[in-house]
Amino acid sequence: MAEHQDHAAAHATEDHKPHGWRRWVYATNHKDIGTMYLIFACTMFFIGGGAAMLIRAELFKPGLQFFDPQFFNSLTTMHALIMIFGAIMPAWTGLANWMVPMQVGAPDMALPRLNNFSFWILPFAFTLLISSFFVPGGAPAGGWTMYPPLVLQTGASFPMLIFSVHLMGASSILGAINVVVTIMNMRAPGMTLLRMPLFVWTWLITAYLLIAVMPVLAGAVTMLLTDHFFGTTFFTAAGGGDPVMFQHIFWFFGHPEVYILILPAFGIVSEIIPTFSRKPLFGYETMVYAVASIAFLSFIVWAHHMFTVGMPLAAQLFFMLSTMLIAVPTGVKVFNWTATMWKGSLSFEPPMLFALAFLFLFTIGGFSGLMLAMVPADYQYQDTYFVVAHFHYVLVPGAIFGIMAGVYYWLPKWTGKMYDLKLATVHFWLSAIFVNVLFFPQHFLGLAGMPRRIPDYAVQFTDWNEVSSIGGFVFGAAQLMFPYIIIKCVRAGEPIGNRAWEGAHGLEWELPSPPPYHSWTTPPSDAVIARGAAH
Amino acid sequence: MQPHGDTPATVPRAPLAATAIDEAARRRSVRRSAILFAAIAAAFYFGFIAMMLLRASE
Repeated sequence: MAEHQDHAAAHATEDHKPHGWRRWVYATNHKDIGTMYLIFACTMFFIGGGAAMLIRAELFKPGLQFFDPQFFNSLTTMHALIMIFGAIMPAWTGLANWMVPMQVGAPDMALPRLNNFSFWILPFAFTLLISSFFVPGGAPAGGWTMYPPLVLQTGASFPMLIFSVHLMGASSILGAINVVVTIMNMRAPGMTLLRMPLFVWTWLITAYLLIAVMPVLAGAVTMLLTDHFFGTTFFTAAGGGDPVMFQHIFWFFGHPEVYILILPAFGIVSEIIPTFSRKPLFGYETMVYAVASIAFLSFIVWAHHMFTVGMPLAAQLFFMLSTMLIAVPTGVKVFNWTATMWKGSLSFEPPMLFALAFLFLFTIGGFSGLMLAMVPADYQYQDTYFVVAHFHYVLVPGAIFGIMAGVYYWLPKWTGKMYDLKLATVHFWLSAIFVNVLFFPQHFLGLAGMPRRIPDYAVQFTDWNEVSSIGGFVFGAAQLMFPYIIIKCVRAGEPIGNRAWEGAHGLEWELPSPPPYHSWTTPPSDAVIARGAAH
Repeated sequence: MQPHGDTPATVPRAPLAATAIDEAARRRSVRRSAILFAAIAAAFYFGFIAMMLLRASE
C-alpha cells in the first residue's frame, strides 16, 4: 500500500515525458508541439528571407544582374508562399499552442494527437513546395495568388504547388479546430469569455476565420487542378469558364487571410502594452468587439483587390466603403492602446519596443491601405510598388514584429531564463530602422510608376531601389540575431521567477518558470483567475 | 525596469481549483464541437465547388 502511495506521489510530481526523438515525433504535449511550430516557422522565415535577399540583390541595379526573369518570378512567388504559409501562420499556431492552454487554465490542447498531425503535415508540405525549384520548368512563377490562366502554364511543379497548398490548408484547418475546441471546452471554471486574455480572444476569432476560408482556398486550387489535368473549364474562358471568378474566390479567402496573419498580433500587443505601462488595458470589451468587427468586415471587402479587373459602379462603391469602414474598429484599437499608455509608468524593454514599433508602423500600413481602398486612386496604384510597400508594412512591422514581441515577452516564461536584454534592444533598433529604409522608398517607387513583379526597371528608379536593397540587406542580417539571442538564453540565461515582468498579469504568470510539462493539471482557483484577469 | 523575479522558480504545483471538472462531459463536448467545426470546414470546401458547378451549368 505504501509502495502504491509512493508511486502515486511520483506520478503527481514527475513530468513523465518521453525522451529522445520519440518526444518530438510522437509529441502530444502542447509546449513541445508549440516549440516545433516555432522552430519550423523560424527556419521558413530564413528560407523565405533568403529569397527576399536574392530579389533585392537583383533589383539593386536596373538590367538583369543574376537571374533570368522566370527564376525571378519563381523567387517572388516562393518568397510569398513560404513567408505567409510557412513562417507567419505556423509561428502564430506555435504561440497559440504554447500560450492558449496556459492562459485559459487548461492542462493541454483539447485534441493532442490531432495537434501532432497538424504540425507534422507542414514539413512534408514545404519539402514538396521547395523541392519544386529542382523539377523541369522550375518552381511556380505565377505569383502566390495563382491566377489562371497564367498559373495553368506552370510546368512540372504545378501539381506540387497544388498538393502543398492543400496540405498547408489541411494543417491550418486542423490547428484552428483544435484552438476553437480548446477555448470553448477546456477553460478553467471561472474563466468566462470576458475574462479571457486578448491573445486568446484574437486567436479564437482567427480560428473561426481559418475554418471558414481555408476550405475555400482548397476548393479553388482543386478546381485549378481539375482544369489542368481533367479537362474541366472552371476558369478557362474557351470552355465557358470564367478566370475572373477565380480571383473572386481567391480573394474571398485572401482578404480574411490578411486578418488571420495580423489579428493574433493585436492580441499580443494588447498583452504587452498594459504590462509595460503598469496599467490595465483601456477598453477591454471594446477591443474584443473591435476584433470581432474587423473579422466580420474582412468577409465583405474582398473585391477591393480587383477594382481594375472591372465591376459595376455599385460594386466598386460597396467594396470601397466597406473597406474604409475597417478603419473604424482599427482606430478604436489604436486609440485604446494609446489610452492604455496615457499616464502609465512606462518602461521600454524589447517586447514593449517591438509592440510600439508595431503600433506606429502598422498604422502607416493601415493608412496606405485606406489610400488603396479608394477606387480612382487604386487605378493608379494597382500593380505598382506602392502595393508592395503597403502590404509589407502590414506584414513585417505588423505580423513579424508582433511575433517577435510575443517571443521576447514569453521567452523567460518558457525557458525560466532571461535573455540578453541589451542584445535584444540592438536587434530591435536595427530592425525598426532598416525595415523603414527597406520599405518606405517603395512607396515613392510605386507612386512614380514602378511596376511590381519585374526583375528589371527603368533607370530613373535606380536610386530608391539601391536604398531599399541596402535596407533589406541590413534588416536581413539583423534577423540572425534573433535565433542567436534565443539560443544564448536557453543555454546560459539568468534564472528568472514566475513573473518575469513586473506589470504582467494573466494565468501564465502564476505558473512556475519554466512551466511544468503538463500546465494546469488542477485548474486554477477563481481567485487566481480573477487576479490574472485584471484588465 | 529590470526583469522582476518576485517568486521562486521552483513552485511545484498550481493552486487547487475550487470547482471539480466532469471529465466525461468535457470529452463528449470536445468531440461534438470538433465534429461540428470539421463539418463546417467540409461544407465550405464542397460548397464552393458545388457553387461553381451550378454556375457553369447555367
